[in-house]
Amino acid sequence: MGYIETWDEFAAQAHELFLRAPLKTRYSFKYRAKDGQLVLKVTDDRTCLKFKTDQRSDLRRIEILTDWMMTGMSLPVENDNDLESRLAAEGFSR
Amino acid sequence: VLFRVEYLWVISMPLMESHVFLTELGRMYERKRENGSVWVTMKRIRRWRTDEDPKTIHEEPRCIVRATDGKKSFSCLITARERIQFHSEIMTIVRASTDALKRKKKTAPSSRSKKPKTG
Repeated sequence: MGYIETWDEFAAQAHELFLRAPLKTRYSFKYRAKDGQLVLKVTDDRTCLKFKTDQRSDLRRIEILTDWMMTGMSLPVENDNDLESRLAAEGFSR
Repeated sequence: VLFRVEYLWVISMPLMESHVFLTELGRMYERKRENGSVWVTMKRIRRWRTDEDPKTIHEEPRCIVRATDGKKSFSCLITARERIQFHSEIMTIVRASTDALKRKKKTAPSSRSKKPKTG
């Protein structure tokens, strides 16, 4: 699968994928110092979303996405179907 | 290795306390300055056990955070309570370690600069 061009598109699809399959979706970022590049990937092993950047200014966006992901991934809900509403309650919209 | 047996996650790789994980992650980025890659992966798990204590099956949600350079890997489990602190600390490490990323160049002063106020 190719890289998604814009950050907003990548983040929106990443949120959606996690909420659709919270126990299958994993979020990762790979740093290669030699290329000066960060590659982000969100996948449930069926859909694979990728974004790459060589810009330091993208770190703030990555910080926000990581916060969203870590919050969703650690939320102690009884039923994972409640993740979306609980995330919203904590201030994390889709 | 992290593998799944009927929705039971078996954590076989080194599992550390989060502060140890963060120290090791910083070291891994340092070691990989010249060559190679560092991956950080996060995932939600609900049902898990470790190799060290195979008889205990845990049934609480955790965010597993894993780091690898392709050879060595290690992980930690983050609870909702630890999340804010951990996120802040891991981002500090990532920011400090990713200095090969390009900084935006400040644009040169425009030739069409504002006219200075007169009078």
